[in-house]
Amino acid sequence: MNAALGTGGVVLGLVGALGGIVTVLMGIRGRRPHLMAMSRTYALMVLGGGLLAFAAMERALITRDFSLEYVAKHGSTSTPPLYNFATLWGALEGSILLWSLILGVYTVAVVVKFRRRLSDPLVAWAMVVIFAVALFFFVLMAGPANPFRVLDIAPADGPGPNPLLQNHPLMAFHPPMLYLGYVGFTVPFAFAVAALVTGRLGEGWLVETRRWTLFAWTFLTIGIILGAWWSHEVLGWGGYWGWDPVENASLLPWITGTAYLHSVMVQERRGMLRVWNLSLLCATFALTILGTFLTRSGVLDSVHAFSESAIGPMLLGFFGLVVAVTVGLVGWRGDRLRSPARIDSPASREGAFLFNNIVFAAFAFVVLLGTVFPLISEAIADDRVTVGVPYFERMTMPIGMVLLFLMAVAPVLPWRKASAETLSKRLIWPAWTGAGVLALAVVLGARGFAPLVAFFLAGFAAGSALRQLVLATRRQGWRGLVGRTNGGMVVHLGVLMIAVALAASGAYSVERDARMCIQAEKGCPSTITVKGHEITFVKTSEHTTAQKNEIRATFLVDGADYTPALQLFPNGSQTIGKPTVKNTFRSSVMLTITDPPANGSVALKVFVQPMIVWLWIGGAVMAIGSAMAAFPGKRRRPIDPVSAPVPTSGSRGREPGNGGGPDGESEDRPVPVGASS
Amino acid sequence: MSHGTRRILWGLLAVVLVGLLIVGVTDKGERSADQRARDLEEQVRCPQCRSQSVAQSETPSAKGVKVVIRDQIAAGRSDEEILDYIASSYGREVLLDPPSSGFSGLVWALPAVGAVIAVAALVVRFRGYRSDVEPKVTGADRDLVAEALSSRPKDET
Repeated sequence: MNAALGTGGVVLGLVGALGGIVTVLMGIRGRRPHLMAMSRTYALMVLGGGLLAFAAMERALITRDFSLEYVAKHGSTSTPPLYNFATLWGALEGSILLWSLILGVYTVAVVVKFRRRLSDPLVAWAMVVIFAVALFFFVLMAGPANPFRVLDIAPADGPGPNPLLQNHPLMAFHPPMLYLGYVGFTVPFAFAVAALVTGRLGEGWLVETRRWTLFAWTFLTIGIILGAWWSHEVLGWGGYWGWDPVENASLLPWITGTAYLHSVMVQERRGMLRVWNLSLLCATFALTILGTFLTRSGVLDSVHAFSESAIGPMLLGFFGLVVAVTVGLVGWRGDRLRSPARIDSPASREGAFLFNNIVFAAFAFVVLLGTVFPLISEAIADDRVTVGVPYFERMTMPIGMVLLFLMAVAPVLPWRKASAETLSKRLIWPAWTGAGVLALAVVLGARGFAPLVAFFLAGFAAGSALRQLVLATRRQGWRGLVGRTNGGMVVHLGVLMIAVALAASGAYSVERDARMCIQAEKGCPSTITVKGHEITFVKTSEHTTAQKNEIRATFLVDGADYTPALQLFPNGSQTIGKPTVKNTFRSSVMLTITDPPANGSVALKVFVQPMIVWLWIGGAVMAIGSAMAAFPGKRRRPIDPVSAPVPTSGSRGREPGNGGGPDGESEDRPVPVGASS
Repeated sequence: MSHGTRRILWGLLAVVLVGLLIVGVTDKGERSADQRARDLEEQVRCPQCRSQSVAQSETPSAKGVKVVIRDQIAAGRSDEEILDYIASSYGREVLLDPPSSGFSGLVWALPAVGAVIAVAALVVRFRGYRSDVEPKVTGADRDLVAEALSSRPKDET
């Protein structure tokens, strides 16, 4: 029953996607608008197929239908409801299913948004691309990643999901958020391809997909932050980011997407960087596919695991197709992509964006290289090497510093050209803010060159962002907080919180291993002090449920109860530590036990990490800032000057920001070209 | 704020920054043996894991490596000697930093080469653009601008 429903859904989606491609293409070819507008029906079929398959799988999981191989492998009768529901995306086949469902939602959203323009060739081509991507994922589900495979003999119970996926509620939210981001990049990618195919390479398609890109980016950000949070709360090694290939796979499209969100402004304002923007967008989409390939094909364990299932070659083939198609299209349209405008000066908003993009490109390159290098090395030189955390930290630290510096300087730069005078005037208070932050850090005892520089730059950048927000709100009231530029500054503030938290927790975390006893004896204290926190071992206890067996140790830390535990799941051979983490704004204390307690004694690991909670607060601020950026800001009239006015005799370009003007400073009113002396 | 005051403020800022950084960098104690061990543990992969370091792992093999590291430190070996010793007994691939020689040197060299090329390309590009030629503005252009500006509502700017 469930298998039949689910397979029906997959077939429905498959037929919808295929039908959409064929019909819309025929409509485009014969210029028949009613055929192109039929994408409406096919989009609903794709969504319907995804929904039906999703519902069938959830029904199978909830009713414990172990005749489905997926449920028999990953479900169990003892899994609590929330984790049971989330088991759908706990393994390969189910995650492809979730991907298809979300793509179906996006497909229908595009059809609704562009309902009046479905027979516009640009939108029609975009629909063809979206249907093609949907087709690929439904083919995956019909073939190598079929979630609805049926077992001849249904077992009475299953092992349940991987223990690590069923001991923290964040597991239910992190993957869907990530997928909303991943899949969302399909929409701007589709419009980019459509613009290339139709030759309508003006700025129209960019403006229309701007919010879609921002939406996808926001959810990707939330997904990554939630993943880091989950990792910190569950894995118990005191970290939140391990440069693991799976993490890198989510970071890569985030990096190129972030670069795109910045450089797209240059194109909108000045018509430049067209090829670059198209490439970034296509790269972002391609990297989501490559990331799925890297993490889902087993290729990272060894090159030779690659051919074990058909899904690896198919994903790699699709990735190759995406790259080949976009490179071919950009080459074909190369002549239309030349821009008449030029960058006048490196000290300008567009110059800073260009530099920002190069730094982001370097960032993506380093992460990609480090992630795939073990594969390349094994395949070419037959040499197994590991590229791990130290490599990534060493390579990305300078990149992060440069990005912080750009965040400090770029927001105050005008378009076209800035004079030294303007820079000096606009940057003096932000720079002093940075000095203030640095002084505070030194007084609080922070030491070491790299973290201190990071604190200074973060304070500097925060000063610049706040300056922009203050000037904008003074000028426009509450509307000074919304719109792309102002919302972007709020996002910057979130990023800076994260940067400071990364620097602080990376440099000043304290870790202590101790054997502790309830009754203190020689070499085995019952109370220890770690960085001013008094930790007392109180008792141990055992809790058994159908899902798991849990041994808890209770500690009193500064008067609060901590109960780190060891969990043994019926399907796991190893015990899983479940740490207790409690956060304050200043620092987090994490307790985790590493061995089962015996005779009133236990091996304890304590982490005291400064500022961890700011990672999560910063993530929330980024999400809020993105929402503010998506909210329409003040419309610029088309005839308002967008760049430097031509100097007119007598007026030396009133310098704004010093109370001289009635409206404070307009971000777009720089010093006139040539007035810099 | 006048031009001169601002110049003084920038100068003062430079002094303050240098002073704070000097305080922040010089006032640092010796690394304890415990800290050294921890740093080394972060550079070695747990032999039976994929990408976790020994520091992150509680598997038996990781615990074994931790014991080796602490023994070696107690024996007075330097960090390089200890890493070499671990590489020779567990295999080169347990070190999380790829070697800088041979084929895997590429993983270090490529980003450096890329950075040089990118910077060079930027310099070339900006140099090409740095033309101080004033754009020619014709009377017709001025008329167009004046017309556009006069059609703007007056409530703003």
